Amino acid sequence: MTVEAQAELVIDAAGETSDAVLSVRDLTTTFTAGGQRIEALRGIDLDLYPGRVSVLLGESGSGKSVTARSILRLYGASAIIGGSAVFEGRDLVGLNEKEMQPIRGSGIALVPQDPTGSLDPVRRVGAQIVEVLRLHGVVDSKKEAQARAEELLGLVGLPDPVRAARSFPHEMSGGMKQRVAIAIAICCNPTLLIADEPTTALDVTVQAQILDLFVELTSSIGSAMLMITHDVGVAKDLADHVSVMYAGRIVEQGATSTVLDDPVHPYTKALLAAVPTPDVPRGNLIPIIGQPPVSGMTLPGCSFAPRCPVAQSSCTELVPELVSVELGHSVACPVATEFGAA
Amino acid sequence: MTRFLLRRLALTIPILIGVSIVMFITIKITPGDPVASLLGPTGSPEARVALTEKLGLDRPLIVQYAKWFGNILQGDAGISIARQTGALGLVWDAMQNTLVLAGFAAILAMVVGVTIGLTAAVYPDSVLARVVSGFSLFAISVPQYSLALISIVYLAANLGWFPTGGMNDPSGEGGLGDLLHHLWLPGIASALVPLGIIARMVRSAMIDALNEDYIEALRSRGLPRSTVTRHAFHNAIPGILTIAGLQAGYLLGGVVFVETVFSWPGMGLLIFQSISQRDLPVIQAGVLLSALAFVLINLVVDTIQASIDPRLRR
Repeated sequence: MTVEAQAELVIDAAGETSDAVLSVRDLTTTFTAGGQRIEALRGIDLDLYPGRVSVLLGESGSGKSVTARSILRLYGASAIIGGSAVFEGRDLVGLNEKEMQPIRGSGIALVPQDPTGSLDPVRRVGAQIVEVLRLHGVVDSKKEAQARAEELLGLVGLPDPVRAARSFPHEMSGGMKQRVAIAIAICCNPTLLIADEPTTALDVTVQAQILDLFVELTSSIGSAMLMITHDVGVAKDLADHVSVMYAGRIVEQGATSTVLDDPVHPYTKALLAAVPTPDVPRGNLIPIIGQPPVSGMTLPGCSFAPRCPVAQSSCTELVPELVSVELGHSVACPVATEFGAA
Repeated sequence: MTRFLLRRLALTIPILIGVSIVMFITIKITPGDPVASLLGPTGSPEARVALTEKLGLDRPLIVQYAKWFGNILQGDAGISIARQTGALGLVWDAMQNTLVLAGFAAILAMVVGVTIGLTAAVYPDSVLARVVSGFSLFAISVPQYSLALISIVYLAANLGWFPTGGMNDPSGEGGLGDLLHHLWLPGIASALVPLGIIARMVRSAMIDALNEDYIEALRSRGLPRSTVTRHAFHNAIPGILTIAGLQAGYLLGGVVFVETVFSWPGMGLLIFQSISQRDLPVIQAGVLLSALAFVLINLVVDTIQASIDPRLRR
């Protein structure tokens, strides 16, 4: 990490949001279905900076994808969203569908998890890029849009862009489709690129190529990137900044080196201990005992308390706040921070 | 695409042969005797034997079929027993009249069915959607003939808004206006069931399409709702066409009731009369022509589908 990036993290820790492209504060998302309320997000704070890769790390159901979809306001009336998400001076939480449309794809772009599910199966790939280019007024003519689409397909590493533009999605492999999805996402030079587990549906051999492509493109167009993953390895390789999520809250966040090399929160520690690395033999992996709370179940106090090895009786009483433990590194666990358990 | 078409065309031949065999056997094993119905109760035993021989009905079934099949290949469907004219000409004229009625009903069912099905899918919580669901259920459930009879009694006989039957006004000068005037009641009566089925199919196909993953991806690119709906509809068309094609095929054969009630001089009325008269050549030619029309409609549907959905071109 560069000195400048470190310096920005200092600002980050102090709550300064002036140069952040997206500033999320106390974001909550509650789904109501059949009289039942499910609190999927319980107060997320997040700052994303241009040219930097931030990773949201967590298990399935921890609320990573909900965070992305809540920021983009992709949920209908069944979701109640609270808090704020200030993007280029406007709070997205207060915008209506009509006001969100020009921001989606142009200001904030999303690369979904499953490339097969992100493309219209009956439209040619080129036409799907042209549609977005024309919609956001990036190009003046249809001809220019076509040329730009082919250029983008080449940029994301497809060997024969002209042929690729004329192909239908089912004629492509998963990796190729994900490259197309990336081409669509970057076609309007978005200020923020959100990638929701972009490599989960791909073969291991293709995963590394796609991740490299992301890093390359993010730095070349200078956009901020939010990468959602459950893969600690991906976070280590790519991220400048990591936020660890558990049960709809961020439990620890900071520079990648501090959070993943020197974790403080018991959940982050347990998560890292459960991941195989070349130095740790497989037999020494330690699973996290128990299950994450069922969605919809609201626990008083810390959600991780029932599974936590250092939990005390006070943990089930108060919801722990994120507290700064060092510059640019905050942890939501009074037990770990008070006793310096790191 | 050309190969796809050629293969589908070649497939229709065994289908038609199969239909003709099943039809031939069905007619033979059902009770009733064409000789008796031709000669009447007063016919002498000698006359019966002579007529049976003349019609070739004393030969084995397979020989009868082979002879009939050979003639059909030469475009000869035999002579109508009851009307003493060429069966093919009779059936062809009737088919044209049926195509007018079934075509009108099919267009009505498609246009109205797709419109209300789309509305119900895109605005699922609206009052309109509920009215539409109720109406399509009503359309499917009410028997055609009861609605046909009720409309004749009230709209045609009592109010005099429409003619009670037939295809043209014998005293009038004819023309398209006159035809349309005669078409409304039988057309609507025939269209209701397919309309209801199409509306419900369109609704569920659209709801499925709108729940696909790529819909959220399209929304995440900033596409407005109307464009997203267009994408979904494009994807739903093949499924909708399958049902619409089947319904159009059923309309061809299924207007029997309506044609009978409204004395529409079409295929349904002709086959209905021919069955009661045991007029075998006409029944055989009629069923074969209906089957051919059914197969052709489905071929057209498959071709349109393949041109819309690239994944089906195999």
